[in-house]
Amino acid sequence: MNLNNLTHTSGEWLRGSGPESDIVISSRIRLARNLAAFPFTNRASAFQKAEIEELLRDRIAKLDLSPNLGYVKMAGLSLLDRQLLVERQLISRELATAEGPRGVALGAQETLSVMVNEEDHLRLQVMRSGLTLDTAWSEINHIDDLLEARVSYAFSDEFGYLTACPTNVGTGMRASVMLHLPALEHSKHIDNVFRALQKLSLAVRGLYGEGSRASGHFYQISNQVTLGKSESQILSEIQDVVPQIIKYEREARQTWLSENRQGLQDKISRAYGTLFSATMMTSEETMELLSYVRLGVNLSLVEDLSIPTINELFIHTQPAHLQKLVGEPLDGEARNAARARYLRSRLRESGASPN
Amino acid sequence: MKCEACGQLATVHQTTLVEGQKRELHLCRPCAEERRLIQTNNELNLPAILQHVIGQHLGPEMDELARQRCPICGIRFMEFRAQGRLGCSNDYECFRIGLDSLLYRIHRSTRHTGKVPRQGVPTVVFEVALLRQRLRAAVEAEEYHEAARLRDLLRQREAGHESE
Repeated sequence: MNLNNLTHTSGEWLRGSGPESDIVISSRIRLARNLAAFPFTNRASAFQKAEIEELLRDRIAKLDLSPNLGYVKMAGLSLLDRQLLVERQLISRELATAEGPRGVALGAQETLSVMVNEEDHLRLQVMRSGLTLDTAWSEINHIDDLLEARVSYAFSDEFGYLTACPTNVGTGMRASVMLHLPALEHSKHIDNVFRALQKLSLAVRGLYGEGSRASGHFYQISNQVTLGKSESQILSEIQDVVPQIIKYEREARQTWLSENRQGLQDKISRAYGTLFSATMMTSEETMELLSYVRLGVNLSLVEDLSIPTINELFIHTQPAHLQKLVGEPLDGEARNAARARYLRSRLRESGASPN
Repeated sequence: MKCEACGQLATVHQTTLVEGQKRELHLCRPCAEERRLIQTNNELNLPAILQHVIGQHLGPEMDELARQRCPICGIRFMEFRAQGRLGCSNDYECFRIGLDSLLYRIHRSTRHTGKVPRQGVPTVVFEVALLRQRLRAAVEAEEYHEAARLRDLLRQREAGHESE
């Protein structure tokens, strides 16, 4: 599997299509599974981890999938390539930085990834563009069925799928949707949303999961409870609440437009102008500015850019992607200059012309 | 040195060069996490929850539980408490007393109601784990004949769940 090919695309979850894709970036489901016959990863010896990896790699290769998944060992990857996979949300930071035999099986479309020897022996993940939890669930459930026929999972009638961390036990499922909520953040109503979600035991996180802040006004909403509810219950709890958040965000956008159209237009135009002409750009600032331009496109205030292009810029301006695209390692200031250069040339290429 | 954001003790220090100018930033851990200068490893802070739950609900039984060790993977409940990660699937059985209240606190439930593997293997889980334990004991005791027999048994168990 050639990771260099990834650099030039933007991956399924940034395709900018699917239901409600003006606000819902992507839907993702992850299942945690362990093999009954081995200790959990944190307690397994290097020898056992190698055994687990070999066994799972073999079983994954034999899955009846077309096209088949490509397996990548972490040990064979440079830090930059690992970072690239983290930025594309194909592996976790934990898998990238852990020790011992471990790796990931990836589908060609980047919708499916199967991490081996992460916190659990298996972490299956399916990610799709737009609000598509049902599709994601049928896909991951199918893969899980196929794997289950080839290995014996650690499972108990009482506690369900047994996981290294008790916060995942039961279904082992974490379902999440990533939302773009610039107007709710601007109006500060986002705090009300958080409070309401908390009462429903749903968690809110930033773009890159645990511990990350919501840069670019992206928020991930996911279930916290994995035990005592069925997969379909968990999914429908999220599916019930997301349309309401979408509605609030749309209303907040309209209110912003009607109360201060000029102010909003100015904010968006300034963001666009800065992206188009700045010579130094941090990753954080890029996210923030692209977020406003994305909002501008959705409100028809920016007409010469498409959502897929903006989505691609979000990912291509991340540190590892940028260094791969430029073809050399860059630190701090050099990276900020390269990022600004990349943004200017890509925006010109795509025919952008800020007023 | 004090945190520039909140005045607590600063433990995270960052130096950046912007337009040739050196800029220093001193923050305490929570403020640095908030700014994503450092990563929060565990959002739920499981060890803290664990400490709390165990202190609250178990009291005197705590000492006994803390010393308890899983015969399969060798982890002590204390270690789990410190790391927030269990060592093997048998721990759910072995540390049941400590886990029940913890699971309830996290999930408001202690009973799985979701998907069940079609193979239906709940008892095999512990059987296989026990086989591994006996295998390890046999190797340590240098009883290689017995070890080979157990290894074959284990392989059979694993293969028994394959469709091929």
